[in-house]
Amino acid sequence: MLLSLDMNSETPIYSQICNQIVKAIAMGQLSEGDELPSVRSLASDIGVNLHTVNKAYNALKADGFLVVNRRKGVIVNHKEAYKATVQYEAGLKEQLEVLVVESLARGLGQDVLNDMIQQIIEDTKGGS
Amino acid sequence: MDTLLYVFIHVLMLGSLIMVPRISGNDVEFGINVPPKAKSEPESRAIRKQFYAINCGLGGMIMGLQVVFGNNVNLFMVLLFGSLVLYTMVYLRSHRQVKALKAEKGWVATKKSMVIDTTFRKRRLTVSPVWYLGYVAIILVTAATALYHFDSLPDMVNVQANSTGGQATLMPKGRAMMYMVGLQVFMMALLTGVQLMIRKAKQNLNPNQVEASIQANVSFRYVLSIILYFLGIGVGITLYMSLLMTIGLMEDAGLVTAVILLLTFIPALVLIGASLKYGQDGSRLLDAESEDLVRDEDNLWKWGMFYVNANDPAIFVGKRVGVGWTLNFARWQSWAMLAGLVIFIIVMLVFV
Repeated sequence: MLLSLDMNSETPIYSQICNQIVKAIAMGQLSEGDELPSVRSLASDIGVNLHTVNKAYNALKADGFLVVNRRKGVIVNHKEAYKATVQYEAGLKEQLEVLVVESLARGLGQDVLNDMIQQIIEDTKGGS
Repeated sequence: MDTLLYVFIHVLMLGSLIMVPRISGNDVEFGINVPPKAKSEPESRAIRKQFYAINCGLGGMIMGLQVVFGNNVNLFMVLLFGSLVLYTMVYLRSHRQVKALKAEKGWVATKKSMVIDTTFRKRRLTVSPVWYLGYVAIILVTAATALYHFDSLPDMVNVQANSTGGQATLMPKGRAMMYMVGLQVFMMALLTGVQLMIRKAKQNLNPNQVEASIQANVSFRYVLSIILYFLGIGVGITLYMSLLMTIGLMEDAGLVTAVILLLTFIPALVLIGASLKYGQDGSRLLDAESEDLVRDEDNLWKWGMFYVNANDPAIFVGKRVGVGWTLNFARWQSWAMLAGLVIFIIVMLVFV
C-alpha cells in the first residue's frame, strides 16, 4: 500500500498512519497476512522518531487490526480479530452523536449528512 | 605510462564533477532544493555555466602541471588533493549562489507531503543474495591459494601493496599471507555492506508522480547494485592477482596492470553512463517540468552535502550532490562505521 502523509497537517503523524492503514484494510488494499514494514524501517523512510511509528502500530494492535508474527513481523490480522462488536457499535454511536448533533445545531440538513456518509462509503468501496 | 594514468585520473575527477548538476535529483541544484522547472531558468543556467567554466579552467591547469612535471607520484597526490579542495570551493560558491537565487525568487515548498510505499523493500532493489556466493568463492580461492603455496614460499616475500606498481615491501611470509587474505575478506565484506546499504537506504518518492517515481527508484537501485557487484568481483580478482604475483605464479607486471586497469575502469565508465541515464534515484526518468517544490530540506543538509538530522532514525540516505548514498551524520552508527573503516586502514598500513 501507499502511505501518504502530510507533514504540515494538524493531525499527528501517528494518527495519519493509523487512519491510512485502517482505510487500506477497508478498501481491500491490505488483507489478512499482508506484511507491514518494521517500526525502524518505516520510521527511517518517513524520517520520524521510532516512537511515532510504534505508537501507531500499538494502537492498531490493540484494536485488533495488526498482529505480530514471529517470522514475518507485523502483519494484518484475520478479519474476526477486528470485527465490530456490540461495545464498538455503542462507542461508534456515541462518537457519531457528537458530530451529528453539532452539525444539526449548525443547521446542516439530514440529506447533507446522508450524502456525506454515502460518498465516504462509495469512495472506500470503489477505490480498491 | 604513469603520467598518462595520472592525467587520466585527473580527467575522471573533473569529468565526474562536471556531471554533478546533471545527475543530482531533479529538485536539487548544487545541494539546494528547487522546483524542477527552475533548473531551466536563465539564472540557473548562468550559475551552472560559471561552475563549468571555472572548473574546466582549474582542471586544465592541474593537468597541465602534471604533464609538465610528469612522472612524479608525490606531485600527483598533491595535485589530486589540491583539486579536491579547489573543486569543493567552486561547488560551495555555486551552492551559495543558488541559495541566494532561491531566496530572491521566493521558492518555498507549497505542501509538505510525502508518500511511502510499504512494500518497497519487497521489490527487486539489489542483486539476489545468491550472487554473494561469487564473493565467497573469491575469498575461498584466495585463502586456498595462500595455504597451498605457503610451505614452498621463502621466509621473506615481496608484497605488492600498491596495485598500480611502485615499491614492493619485503615482509615475513606468514604476515604477508594474512595481510592479503585479510584484505580480500575485508573488501568482499565491504562490498556486501554496500548492497545492504542500497536495500536499506531511505526511499525517495515524488508525491506528484508516485508510480513513476517508485519505478525510477527501483530501477536506479537495481542497476547500481549490479554495477557495484561487478566492481566487487573486479576488486577481488585484482587482489587475487597481486597474491599470485607475491607467490611468484605470475610475473608479467605489465599484464597485471592492464587487467587491473580494465577491471576498475570499465565499471567506473559504466557507472558514469548509468548515472547520466538515471540520475539520482532515477530522477532523470521523471518529469522535469514541474513547478512544484515538494520537499525543502536545506536546513538538514550542511553545505548541501552532509545530512545531519537527529530526528531521523535513518542511517543511509540518498545523496544530494551526485548519485549514490550517504550517511546521516547525526547518528552514532554512521560515525562508528567511518571509525571502523579508518581503523581498518590504519591497521593495514601498520601491518605492512
